[in-house]
Amino acid sequence: MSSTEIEALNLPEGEIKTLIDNIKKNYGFDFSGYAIGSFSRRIARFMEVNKITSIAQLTPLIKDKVAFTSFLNAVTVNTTELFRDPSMWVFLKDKILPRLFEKNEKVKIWHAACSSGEEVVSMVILLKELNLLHKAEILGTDINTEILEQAKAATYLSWRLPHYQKNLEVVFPGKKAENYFSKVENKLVFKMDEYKNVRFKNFDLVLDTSFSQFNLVLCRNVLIYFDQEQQENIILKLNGALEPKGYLVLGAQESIDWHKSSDEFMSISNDNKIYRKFKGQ
Amino acid sequence: MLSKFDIKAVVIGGSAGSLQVLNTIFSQLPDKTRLPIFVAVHRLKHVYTGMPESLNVKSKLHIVEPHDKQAIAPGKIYLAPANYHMAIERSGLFSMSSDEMVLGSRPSIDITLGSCAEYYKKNLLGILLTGANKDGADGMRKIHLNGGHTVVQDPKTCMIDTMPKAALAATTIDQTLSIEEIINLLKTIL
Ligand SMILES: C[S@@+](CC[C@H](N)C(=O)[O-])C[C@H]1O[C@@H](n2cnc3c(N)ncnc32)[C@H](O)[C@@H]1O
Repeated sequence: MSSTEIEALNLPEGEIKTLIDNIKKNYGFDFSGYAIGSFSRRIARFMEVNKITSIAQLTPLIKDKVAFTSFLNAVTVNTTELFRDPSMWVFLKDKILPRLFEKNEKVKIWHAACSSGEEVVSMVILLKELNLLHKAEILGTDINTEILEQAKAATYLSWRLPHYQKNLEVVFPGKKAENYFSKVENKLVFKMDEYKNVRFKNFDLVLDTSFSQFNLVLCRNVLIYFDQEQQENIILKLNGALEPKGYLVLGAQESIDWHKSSDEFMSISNDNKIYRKFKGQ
Repeated sequence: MLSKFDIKAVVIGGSAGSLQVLNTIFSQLPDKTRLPIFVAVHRLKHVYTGMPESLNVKSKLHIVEPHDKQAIAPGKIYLAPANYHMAIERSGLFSMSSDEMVLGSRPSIDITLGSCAEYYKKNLLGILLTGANKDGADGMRKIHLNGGHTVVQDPKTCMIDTMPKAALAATTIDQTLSIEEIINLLKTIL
């Protein structure tokens, strides 16, 4: 079916809302605070790829666990990269991490919504190169259990290597990305031993309550999927999970500027979306 | 006939060769307008910076890469940032996403055009410039279906004419114009 026909259906907002209710009942995921326009667009795309012509037809299908997982993957978007937005990593390396590690015995880092783990792998590489890794405690979380398995395995497709190299080059000029991975068939397996000390855990930013205090929280490219109100809730939640004067890093096109909670933070780097918890010293 | 007060926003898409065209267009626009202008162009992956700066040099209107859930302000040119699709949410705020590429590209011209079409309906002017693939054709179709006004750069004046030709084949295009004519059209409605 072509996208033309899908659009002719134009996924009525009411039906999307019913679908969201159904998902909540059956699986306990709450998509009601996702930005409805982009959420519908991704559902439409999933339907197009799977030749589903109506929400009525989609609903019984995703009662099946396997089908639901592929639906979840499609609507939650797992796009990520090694050293995504390299200038942010350079800033962490030069300006944030040295001081943070000087001031704290143990530095606790949380990658909220880590997807397939490239962001965590980047952090491990960075800290190892700075000889700080042994002082760090790293946690990666995501809503998607399947993607977390990938993050644990830290196994990626080889064709992504040139891409990784480009980013790494900015952070560590002259370093070779391939030195951090073993090649197994057409896969790259991250081979740094310490990676097994990283903990991974299922965590839903909407429904779960924060469980610990961190010195550094990276929550990148997941706020963009929520509407403004839900973003506000999550930013407050992240604030609650930060130690006094802890750091928060958002994605390149995300901002807390127009949120009430922006009062709780000061901006450390506007370009790199790095904020620092202001209150509660 | 296109009347100035029907139009509440302008959206422009382009690919190969379009940067130069955009530079020419922006350099001749006034320094104020009541409309927002949205621009989605294919750009090199992993070249994160530089495009807004280089376009800003010649433009009197300010060119910015918007953030997610930012409010739309009149009189600005909004450029889709590298590696994100740029859309307008139903709330009227910007929405960025790193969904998979569409037709090999992120930002996708179709997504920006399509979401502008849904939001502005008949009050939208869509312009598709030179380019080497068929991204934008579906977006132009949505603009037309929603009652908006569709314009393509005259294929004869394109560095690569695949993009406007694909749009001409996909939907009703109200006007096929040279760059000069596009500038004049913009001057009358802005
Ligand atoms: C685009 S990836 C971001 C990966 C990485 N942080 C980056 O910036 O490259 C977005 C991730 O958010 C996760 N996600 C979506 N909704 C979530 C929620 N409610 N709670 C936790 N994670 C969520 C998705 O499963 C996906 O892995």
